[in-house]
Amino acid sequence: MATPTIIIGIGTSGLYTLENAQRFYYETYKTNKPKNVEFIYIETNESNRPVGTPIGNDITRVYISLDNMAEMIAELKTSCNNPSWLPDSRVVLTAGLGAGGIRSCGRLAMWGRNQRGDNFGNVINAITNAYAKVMHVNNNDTNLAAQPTVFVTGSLTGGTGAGVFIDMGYLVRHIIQNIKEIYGLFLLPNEPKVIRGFEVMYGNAYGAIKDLEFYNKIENNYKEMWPNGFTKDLEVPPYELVQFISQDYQDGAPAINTLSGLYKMAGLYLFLNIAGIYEKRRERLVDAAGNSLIGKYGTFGLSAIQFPKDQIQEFVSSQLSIELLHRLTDSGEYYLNGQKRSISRASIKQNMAVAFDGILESAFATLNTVEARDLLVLIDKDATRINKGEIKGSPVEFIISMFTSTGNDNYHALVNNNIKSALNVFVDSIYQQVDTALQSTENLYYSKYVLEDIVESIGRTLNYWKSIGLSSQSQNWDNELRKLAIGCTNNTYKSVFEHDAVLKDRLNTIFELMKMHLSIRVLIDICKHVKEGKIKLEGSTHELPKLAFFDDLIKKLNTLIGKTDELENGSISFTRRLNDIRGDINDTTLPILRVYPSNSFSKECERAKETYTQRSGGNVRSITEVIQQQNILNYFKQKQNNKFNEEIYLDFLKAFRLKVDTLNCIEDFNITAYIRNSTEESIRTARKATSPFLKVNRVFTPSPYLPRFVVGDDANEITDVLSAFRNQNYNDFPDTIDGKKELTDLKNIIVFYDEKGNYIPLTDLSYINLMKDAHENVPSGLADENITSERWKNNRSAYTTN
Amino acid sequence: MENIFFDTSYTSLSQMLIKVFAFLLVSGLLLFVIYFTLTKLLFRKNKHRKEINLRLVLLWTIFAYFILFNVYIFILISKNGIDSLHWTSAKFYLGIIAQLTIYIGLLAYFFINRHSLTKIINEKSIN
Repeated sequence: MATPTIIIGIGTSGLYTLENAQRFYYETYKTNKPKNVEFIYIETNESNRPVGTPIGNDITRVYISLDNMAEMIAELKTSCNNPSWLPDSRVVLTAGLGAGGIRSCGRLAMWGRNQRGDNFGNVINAITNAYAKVMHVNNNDTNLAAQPTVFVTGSLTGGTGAGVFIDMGYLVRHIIQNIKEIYGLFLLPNEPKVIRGFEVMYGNAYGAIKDLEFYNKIENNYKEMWPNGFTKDLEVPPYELVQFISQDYQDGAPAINTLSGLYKMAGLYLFLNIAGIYEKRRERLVDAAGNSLIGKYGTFGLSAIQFPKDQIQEFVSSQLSIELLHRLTDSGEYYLNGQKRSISRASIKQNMAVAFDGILESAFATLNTVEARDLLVLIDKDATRINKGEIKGSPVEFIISMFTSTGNDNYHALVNNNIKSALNVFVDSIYQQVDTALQSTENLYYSKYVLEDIVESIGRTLNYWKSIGLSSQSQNWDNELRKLAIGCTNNTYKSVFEHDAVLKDRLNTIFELMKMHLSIRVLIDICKHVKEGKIKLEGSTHELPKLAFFDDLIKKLNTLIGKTDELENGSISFTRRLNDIRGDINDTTLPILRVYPSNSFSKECERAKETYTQRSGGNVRSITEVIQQQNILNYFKQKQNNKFNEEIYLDFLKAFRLKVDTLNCIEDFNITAYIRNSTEESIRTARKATSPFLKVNRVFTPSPYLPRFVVGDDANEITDVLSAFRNQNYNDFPDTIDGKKELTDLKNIIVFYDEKGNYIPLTDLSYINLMKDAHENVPSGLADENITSERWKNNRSAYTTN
Repeated sequence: MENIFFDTSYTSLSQMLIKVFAFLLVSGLLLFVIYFTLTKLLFRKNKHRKEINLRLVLLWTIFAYFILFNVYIFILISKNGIDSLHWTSAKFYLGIIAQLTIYIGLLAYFFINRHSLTKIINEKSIN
């Protein structure tokens, strides 16, 4: 029976957990989630956004803004009957980004409303929509359960998660009436070696556990007046079962070295639940609850033997992305028709000088016609009239009146009013040159040089015009015009009957000079736009590119491949990701045993890359592999926003991952065969699952009522694995129907799962006293004198549970 | 008439002045005829400015006339005989002063026109 499921991530940890769950699902099923599942993520930090898989992202983001917290507090005081948990208006000013580690600020974010929106309403809408989607996904599916299952996940160490997690449980209960299956999966900090500097984390976690314990007791009710007008007085606990996990094993040994490893294990747990183990767990948990073996708190152990196909795919895709970025940002060489060539600045300069002459000619040609009148024909007629004496006044004055800047309906005025058409030609043609260069070379330096050298040609042209006495000043033009007009009447070649042709020619020359005079301002503006970016110039279809655009683009792309001198901590980059993947693969504390056909991650990556090169048709990367036939310049322009690096990173990674996947560069690996050959090592991994990810003092006795099973793609192969284990006298995982779960699409991994329960974290967590101390006592030696003992404790509390 | 164009001896000052005037007149007339003809024949499809074309035609005209004048000089020498050229006699130079004027004048005219054309097509000029 397909279980409609909503998974709600709270805060950044919630997001990372959901991303991992989505990622595991994509790796297995090539879709981000089944139709009966919805992912929602609620966050106070505006800059955090979900990272998708190669086919995109299916995590719905709900941003709860903390702008104008003081006003939000003032409004809640009136609309919600002045709840006592509200933070002090003076405290919120120091909260910083997100909820700032203050639990009541996290809660305030969910309840509040500001100019960015109604947070409470938005959260309700998101859950209501998700509920509607999962319940109506398949109305004809008679196997669909009548009630959805909801998982809420996040960490209890920050302000957001620890602030809203109880409200969230009750909010889900409010939206989905009579829901029974609502579970929490919350991350706790591991046992501290040194607590100094981490008091906020531990204090918040303790406060959250204490509040949860309060509402789990049947004598305590949840009494609140919500901002949507509902008054709640609920006896039920917020969650049916809350599972806590940390980076420790039960005995305190490090289970997971990094926080990202913890997110991965939490994500794997959620993925397995939506993939099918939830139904198996539920059967066991019903029995366990009936026998009082689980209680309100649980935890679990999880280990796996995996061929990390996805990591190899991502590693290779990152390498391919780096190669492409190198091609785009190579300052010395470029590829043209598959041939590597050096960027010759002299050759670009020469080509652009010729190109600009052509551009100038085209631009001037557009000025010859105004409103369907051919000005050159009119000038020829005027020349004939002058020679025939059909004009009033002297020829010199007549010629001046034709081209003077003071005329309203002469050639000067006509051309001046039409100068935008010349500008359009300049801008469009320059854009075309740069665009063609970028499309053909896929090199940003080459394209930048093209633009730079066109501007240099413009500069040279302007200097030449200046040297022959032209300027954009009207007075200057009129002075030059008088000299030219006088020159027109001298030496007329009448004796050889060429006076008409000569005069026409001279008037055309004046006309051309007038165009130059009128174009000077336009060309200066183009130079200013390109070089200084001070003004914005648009042609008929495109905005003129700027040098700063290329510099900025190159700089940003260099950041993505780590080719930068600047320390940009936290910024996304392929080199960083490669290191992260290597770190993850080499992390021996993660309870996942990585196995390979060649016994080496590097060899698998090399092999995959070789296969990609062969099947994609060459070892020169092209941006068409990422954006297909899309225009490169347009693509980068569209990406010019605050999230440039993230978007480029994701686009490149997704595209290459998809191609690596489509070209089948990495073959699946039979894990069962590996286990049969390396049984002892596999048993060591399986054994890790029997210790939960939480350091508690209580002894967990194995119970057949609690879920403990092996998950793989074939039940018979699981039987083989368990048989191999038995032959080595390892019997923790029973070879029974309850001890096996077949998920046919779960390739390249075998998971060992063991669930524990029946403990009270407030008493059984081995380092609970340290946490309590961090919650109740302000750390000594704090520089901020505003943090009094009372204010410290208030910041670590968010519910009225005393 | 034949004496004016093919006699190299000096007789009197007035005769010499008449001879110079006649040479200038005939040369001017011939130059105009050649120039007029060439303006209708040369550079008709050239896209250069008309004035530049006309000045180029003038240079070709001078060149053409110079060729013709040299042919005339050849005939003059062959008709009078090489012995009639008394290079050391001042009187001889007075006798051919009309031819010398045209010869030197043509060269000077050519280079002056060439210079003015160069000036016109010089990049610093807007004319």
